[in-house]
Amino acid sequence: MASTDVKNTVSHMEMDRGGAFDFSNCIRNQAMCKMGATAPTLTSTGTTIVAVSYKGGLVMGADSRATAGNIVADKHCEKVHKLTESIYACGAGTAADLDQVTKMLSGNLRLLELNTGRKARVITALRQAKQHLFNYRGYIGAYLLIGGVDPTGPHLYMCSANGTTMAFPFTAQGSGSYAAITILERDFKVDMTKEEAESLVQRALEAGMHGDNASGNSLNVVIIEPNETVFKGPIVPEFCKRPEPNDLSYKFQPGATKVLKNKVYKYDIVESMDISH
Amino acid sequence: MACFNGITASADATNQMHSFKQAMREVSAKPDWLSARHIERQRWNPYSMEGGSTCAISGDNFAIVASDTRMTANDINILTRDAEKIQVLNDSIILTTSGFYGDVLQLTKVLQSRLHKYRFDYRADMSVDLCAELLSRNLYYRRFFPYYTGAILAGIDEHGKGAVFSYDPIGCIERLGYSASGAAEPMIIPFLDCQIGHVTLDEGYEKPALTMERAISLMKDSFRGAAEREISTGDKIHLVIAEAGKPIVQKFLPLRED
Repeated sequence: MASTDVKNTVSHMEMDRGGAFDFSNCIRNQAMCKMGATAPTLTSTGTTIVAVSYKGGLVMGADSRATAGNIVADKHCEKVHKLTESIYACGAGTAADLDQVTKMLSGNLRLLELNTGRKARVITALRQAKQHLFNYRGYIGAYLLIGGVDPTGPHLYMCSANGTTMAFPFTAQGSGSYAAITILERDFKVDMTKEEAESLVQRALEAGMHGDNASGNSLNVVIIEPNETVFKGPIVPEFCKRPEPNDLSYKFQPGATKVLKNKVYKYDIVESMDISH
Repeated sequence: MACFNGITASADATNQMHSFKQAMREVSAKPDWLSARHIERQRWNPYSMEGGSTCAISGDNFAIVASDTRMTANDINILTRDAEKIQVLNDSIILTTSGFYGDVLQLTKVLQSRLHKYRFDYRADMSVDLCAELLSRNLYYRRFFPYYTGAILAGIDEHGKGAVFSYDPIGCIERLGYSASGAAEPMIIPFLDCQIGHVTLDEGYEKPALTMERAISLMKDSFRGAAEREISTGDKIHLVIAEAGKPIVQKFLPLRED
């Protein structure tokens, strides 16, 4: 084969490797960029997510603000994703990637549970996530806290977008993690009670939401125990409420808006159809 | 939402299609991923942006200036919740500045010292019109290494009327009825255009007069609205009210802190 043929084959192979992504517009997009078009940018969600293990269980939580640049895109978005009945994932990073990755994980874990007739383990979810993310070399911007309770006990893992994973007794992720981790470092104790752990997660989240611009609005918490999983939220902390209502009301009278242009289209009915049934 | 921008419809569609096909051929022959990677170099950048928003409204015999008090690093990290972005320069001049806080402080210092010298030389306070021109010249003096600020100068002029002057970073000056600058400027300006400028209101509908009470309420509401949706605006409203023949009043009002 001539070298140009090899080159063509290789670049085609790179473009349609199969799997989840379609690279067929890649060349076209590069051509459009060459003609002066600007490529769209990804929206990244600044976040505070926190998880803490305690005696026999795990508490995980997240704030609910999604941002696009410096604008709040969603005030009540759900960042605590259910993978199985007793495994949850909290996500920071690119919103679309997180939705898709957690959707894939929950599907695969459910199939696994049906095939084996046993509850899925946290390590399985983690391995699935890290292998998927490592395959895409960090281009899938999903930073996950995966945690839950399985027959081997409570587990908490962090999985970053490039596939690095770590196990923790407590941790925080996202842009608000710096504020949140200070609370965790100060107040975490081994073998806390459920109430202590829940309050710790809530306080850590509140610190993140207070100290970080890209986190706020409200928080969601999930408490996972061997026999029972409780979801709490949305909880709105005091500092996330509007301190004062608006002074004026902004109601517009009907018809008060200026009509800038008026155009009348005239149609002749050539043929009509009976759509009543 | 996310889409390609920048390709404008040309009258000669065939010509455009031709050049697009040419671009396709060039790109297929040498795609980005087969060429050497660009080395991204970190350029020295003396500027930063500390977020926050400021706004000013003028009326027949008053001028109102407001800003939030949050200071932010990299759009995310809160540096302080008590940053003051409004300076009362004398009994009739108020300066409010957003942008790079280092330049905000320096610009304030420069203006204060010039006003001090003026008072020493002429035994009188400078008028707001004069100060507006002075600020414009000070900004343009740094044409090629600008103060990275969006300044608004407000006050009561020599005829006892409210005045608002708006600037770009290199000293382009405009006298307006109302103005905003900073991170939430794109949210506040359309609101004030609607409520004070009445740009969307049809003829024959009642236009509410801009009393001082109404202006203050609109000012508060615009910051309450901005704090809901703009992440670097929040914590407190710093409200400064100048009314002709009365001393300047300053107030702080709470905003959401998340």
